[in-house]
Amino acid sequence: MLVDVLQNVVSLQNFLLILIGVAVGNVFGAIPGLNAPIAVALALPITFTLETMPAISLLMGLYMGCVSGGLVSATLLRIPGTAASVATTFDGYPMAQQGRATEALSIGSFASLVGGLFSFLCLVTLAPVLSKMAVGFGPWEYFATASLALVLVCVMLRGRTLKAFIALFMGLLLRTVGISPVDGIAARYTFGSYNMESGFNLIVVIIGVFALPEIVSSIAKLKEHVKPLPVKPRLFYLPAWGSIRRNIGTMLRGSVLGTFIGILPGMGGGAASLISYAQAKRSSKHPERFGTGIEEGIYSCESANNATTGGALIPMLALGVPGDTVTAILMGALALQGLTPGPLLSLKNETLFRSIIYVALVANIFMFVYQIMTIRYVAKVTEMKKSYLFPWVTVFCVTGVISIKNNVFDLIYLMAFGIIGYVLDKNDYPISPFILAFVLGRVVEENLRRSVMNYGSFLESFSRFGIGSIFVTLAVVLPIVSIVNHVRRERTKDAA
Amino acid sequence: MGEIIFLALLAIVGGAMFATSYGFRVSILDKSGGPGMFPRIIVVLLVVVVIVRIVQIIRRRELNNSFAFLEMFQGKRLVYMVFTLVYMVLLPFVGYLLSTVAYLLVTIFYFYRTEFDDGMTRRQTVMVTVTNIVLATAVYLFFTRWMNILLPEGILGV
Amino acid sequence: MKRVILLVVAFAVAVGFAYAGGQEESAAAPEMSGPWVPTEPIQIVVPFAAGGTTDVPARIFAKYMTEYSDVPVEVINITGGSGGSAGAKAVQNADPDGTMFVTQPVAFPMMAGLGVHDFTNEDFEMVGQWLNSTLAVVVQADSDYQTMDDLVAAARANPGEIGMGSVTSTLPFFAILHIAEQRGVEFKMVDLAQAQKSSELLGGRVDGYVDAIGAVRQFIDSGDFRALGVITDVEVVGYEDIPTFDELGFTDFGYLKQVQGLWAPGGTPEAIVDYVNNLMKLAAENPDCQAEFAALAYKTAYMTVDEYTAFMDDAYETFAEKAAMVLGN
Repeated sequence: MLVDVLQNVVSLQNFLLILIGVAVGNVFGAIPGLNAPIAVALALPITFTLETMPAISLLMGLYMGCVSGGLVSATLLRIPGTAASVATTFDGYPMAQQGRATEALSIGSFASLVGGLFSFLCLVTLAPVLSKMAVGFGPWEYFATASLALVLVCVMLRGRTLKAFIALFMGLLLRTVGISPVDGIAARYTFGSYNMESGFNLIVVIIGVFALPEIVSSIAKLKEHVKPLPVKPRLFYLPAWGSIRRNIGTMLRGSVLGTFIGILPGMGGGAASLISYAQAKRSSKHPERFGTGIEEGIYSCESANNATTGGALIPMLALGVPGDTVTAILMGALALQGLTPGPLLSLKNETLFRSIIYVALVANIFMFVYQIMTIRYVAKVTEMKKSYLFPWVTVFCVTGVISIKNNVFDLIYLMAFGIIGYVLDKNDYPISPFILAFVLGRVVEENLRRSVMNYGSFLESFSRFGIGSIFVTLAVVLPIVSIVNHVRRERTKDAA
Repeated sequence: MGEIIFLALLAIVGGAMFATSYGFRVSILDKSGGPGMFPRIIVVLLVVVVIVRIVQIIRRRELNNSFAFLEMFQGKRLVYMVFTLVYMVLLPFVGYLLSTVAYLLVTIFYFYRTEFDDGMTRRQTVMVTVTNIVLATAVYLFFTRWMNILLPEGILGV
Repeated sequence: MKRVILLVVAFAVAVGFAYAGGQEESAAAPEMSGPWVPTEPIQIVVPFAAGGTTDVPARIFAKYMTEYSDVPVEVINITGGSGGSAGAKAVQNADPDGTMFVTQPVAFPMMAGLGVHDFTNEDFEMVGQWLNSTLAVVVQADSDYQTMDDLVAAARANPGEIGMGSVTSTLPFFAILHIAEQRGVEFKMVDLAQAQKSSELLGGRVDGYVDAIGAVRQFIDSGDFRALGVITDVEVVGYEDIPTFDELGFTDFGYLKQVQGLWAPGGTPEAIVDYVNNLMKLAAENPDCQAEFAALAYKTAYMTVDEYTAFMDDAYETFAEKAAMVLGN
């Protein structure tokens, strides 16, 4: 069995295609607006002409490359190409601005590798068991998990919880714009414009909230130049052993969380990395240093977002239920090869099923090697003159926004979200709940309404005891506990 | 005071969204609470936290804390914002390539003067102009020819 | 330094020439009578994201149409709006010069009927249909519903209790309403997420659902699901034992077929429409193309311009009526 699998996977052509996929995917992941779904879709016509395994190699290379490519632009430019790399900007960008871009990127690459490998192990050993979880999750469970995720991110921001909730509800409210889900006929807050019917695009919101405010506030500091710390030119860069050892726990927690969230369709890398980051901050001995460019921040989120790839592949391969948009397209690509992922594939063609998983592993490793070898070149971006950099970053944001939908309409609200992002960030309102609200807003609403539809009412849904109701209870109790604690602390402070 | 205005604005917008939500089209088969339910829940929660925050500001005497907003529209930042806004507005009409080159050159020369307190030498100016035109064209061709993405064609057809 | 400048200038000049060359070619398109010959790439706009159920067939067709055309046939995704309205609008406003077409997904007539879209087939020129796929009604294989009659009987005994899943306001949604209307029963309409319909039935949270046969056949093959009927009047190849809706005694279900076609901007000359329709015909008759679609459980289904125009008129009329089931009056 293993021999057959290896024969399938190991070939010069496969490895070359994975490498090409990884390199191209890395560019797609780094440019805002170009993303994994577009890369995979563009590669579809090429895969027609290939045999099954080479086609899968190219697609997996692209998938892994795109997911990791977001690390580069998030760290160097504070442009998260996707929601998955939003959390990476929190510590990666400050670290790069201190001249430690090489270090930040090598940490990110290493954490990505660990996350990828961990989820691969889960994929190999637990796919049949874990895929049951996806089946066991109905609307009520999705509603509960997504709500709990939102509440957790707010509550974990100790000292800023109230502001976090304001940002969260702002995000959720803005997310309701567009054609209503579930019924599909009510146009909400669209002002009669058909372009508004699809609502505010997540990527445009992310670009607006992160990239534009950063440029605006840096203009006052045009004259300050980043002095990169001297690094010896080497073939590749790895984080220091001590740093890896200190953060093994952080990476493992991130990986478990990422794999778990990846399995649940619709949650994705954005939720995984933001929650993992918040969790790492909360359990850290020095939470106040998060956001200033510390390594734990990067380890926690990069391990989590890459672990979602394996997680997303689990239900796709085992059940034919894609875990995210990319795996949905991958399924289409496999179908073009005459393969339908799902129960039949793992039963009838186990060799092929395993081969796909091993290709994902090879792609992960190639991705890592590729990144640590190119770090020294891409890190040079931070040395560019700011008077060249800022205009070009703006142009790339604008180009990216147009290319998401081939539509200039999205530019209209790009700037508005830039202003919102600036106001929130500079006034100490946390951004992560706002973004997470955009990622999960629809999941929460759709599944709340589906639960009401299925079980008659909210209370009847709640009375069905199970993991869903436990999560909902937690989502209500945690903020209350947080408020009580807060009030108690204030009292003791006043008394003292 | 700035923050209270911001919060009040949020509450007002939320209130307007609450009121509008009763006018949504509803399917007669819809048994899910309707399209207006979720926005209404969120508005109520938003207003509650906004009120708590306002009370907190008043109790903690943070009323006079400065609120970051206006500085976005001052000095060089204003120039950048206006440049970028004009670029975005003109882009669909003038066309991608032309407006992008114009935006790049104008912004780069302006920023360069600020960054180094001095303009470029003539030689640098030529270099920068040529490089940027070439790079912008390359980006344009990459997106339109390779990626099959439609970037706006304007008066010159590019 | 000088060498760099020289290189850059040389590159710029080269790019400039290459580009100018391209421009001249297109500018030289001659006015001619008789059969139309394209000079610029034909762009097919898919109004949904790349890789979806409308996009993949369009890409396959584009590939084969290119074989029969002098110019490349390209696919562009213009997304936004609901039910593909932004893509359709972009083509509606494009020049009717044979460079831009939009794929017609199943959603267009439905969305117009529901009053979400403000354009109809009248605003476009109908070019042709290229494929269709058949819907199937599935339940869990170990459920008590052996036949459609069992399911209907259960719904009759427990009105509004038997949960049937579909993505609301899509064709399967109307299919369930159709069954309920013709058999005089009431189902509980359960809304499913686009990407995870099968897991709702596998998890037992719905009693059954309706989806394209291509999407559910692997679960039928694996023995997880049982198909109670396929919504068509001819048996599905490979699944002859599943009763058709005709055999089950349903009537007027012609509109419950997922069809995809191609539209051109309103006012496009007949010569252009005929030319592209012919490309579609050649592609649809290509055995390789048919084999690729068979792998996806789609069937190429070519229609002439007149057939397709009549078909679309009918679809818009039907859905304008059926929308009353959702909107009331």
